Amino acid sequence: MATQKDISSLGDDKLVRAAQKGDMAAFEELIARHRDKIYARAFSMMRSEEEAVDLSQEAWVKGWQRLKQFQGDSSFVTWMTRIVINLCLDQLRKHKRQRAESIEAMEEDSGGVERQMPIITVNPTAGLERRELRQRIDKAMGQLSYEHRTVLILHEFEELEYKEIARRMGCSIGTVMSRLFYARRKMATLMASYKREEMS
Amino acid sequence: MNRDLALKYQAFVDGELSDREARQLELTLQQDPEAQAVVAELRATKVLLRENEPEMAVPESREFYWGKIQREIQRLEAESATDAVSGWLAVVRGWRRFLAPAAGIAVILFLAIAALRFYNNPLIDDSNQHLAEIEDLAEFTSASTFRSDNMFVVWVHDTSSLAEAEPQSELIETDDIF
Repeated sequence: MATQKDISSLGDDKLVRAAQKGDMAAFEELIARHRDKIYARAFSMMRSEEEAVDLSQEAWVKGWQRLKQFQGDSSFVTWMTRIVINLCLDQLRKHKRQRAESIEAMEEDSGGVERQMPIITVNPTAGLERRELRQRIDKAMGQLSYEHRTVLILHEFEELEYKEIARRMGCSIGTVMSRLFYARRKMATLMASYKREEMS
Repeated sequence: MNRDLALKYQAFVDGELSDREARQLELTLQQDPEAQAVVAELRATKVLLRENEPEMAVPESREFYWGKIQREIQRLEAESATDAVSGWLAVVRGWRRFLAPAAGIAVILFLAIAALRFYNNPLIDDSNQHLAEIEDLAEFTSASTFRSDNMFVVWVHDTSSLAEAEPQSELIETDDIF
């Protein structure tokens, strides 16, 4: 069995192979390396610290159970991110069943709300530090309904195509396009409003 | 701009159109300032998000976070080991209801085979059994005849009742008379 120092110096590929043979220390090292990214993805979708911790831990447990299925077609962290996204989508579907549709979703269904938003022509992020910019993006994401936020995350952060997003979310490509359009326009409007707040 | 056209411009920004569709839309775009503004905003938002994904850190220590995962893995592995054993027992329990009829059939088969082996054994002399099966009626009957020129008479006697009433020697004497 390798020591902690040996393990820390190994690449992800070797750690994955060791973990596939049942080496839990190797798996623990993989978690230590990527836990923040997996947690961040869960938090960006759920907007709840407690749920994000629970779902990210559940994702790691599932990762361990399915580790033998990992063939290395993508990076390990990408594979783990897909697992946590699927868990979050399942959880969000449960939430949706438990509550009435959000006002935003109803607005979207009625159609054309995004057309009433003014087009943002001035860069609302000019002069902002990266940390501050990320905070504002996170704040704006928190203002979106989970449908719009999820589409945005899957398209912009996971860089998935419309077809793949539709498959994962269980909706049509048209719905994905409509939600993505609304989400982007809403994000631009929110970022501009934060800028105006800062100026006033 | 109508909604369908707006979504088409978005697909153009995302590279989801075919080359031919993209070229056609690009020509339309050059003549529509409103569409140009929408496309510019969509592109800016896309770039902004792709380059500035919010970063977060797990609000728990490495040991505490891992500890919960490790306990869950161990619990599930223990559970699956128990499931494997109970699955086996369930199979055995399932088979048990067939056990009594199967045992009965086995006993019958055993007895049948044993009996066959016994009767087919060449070492056992069973010639008497065949004789015993043949009923010899001669001991219960007797016959006497009378012959003249153109007549032949045969008397058949049932001797079972005579054997009980008269001694065998007297029957012989009667035969001698004829």
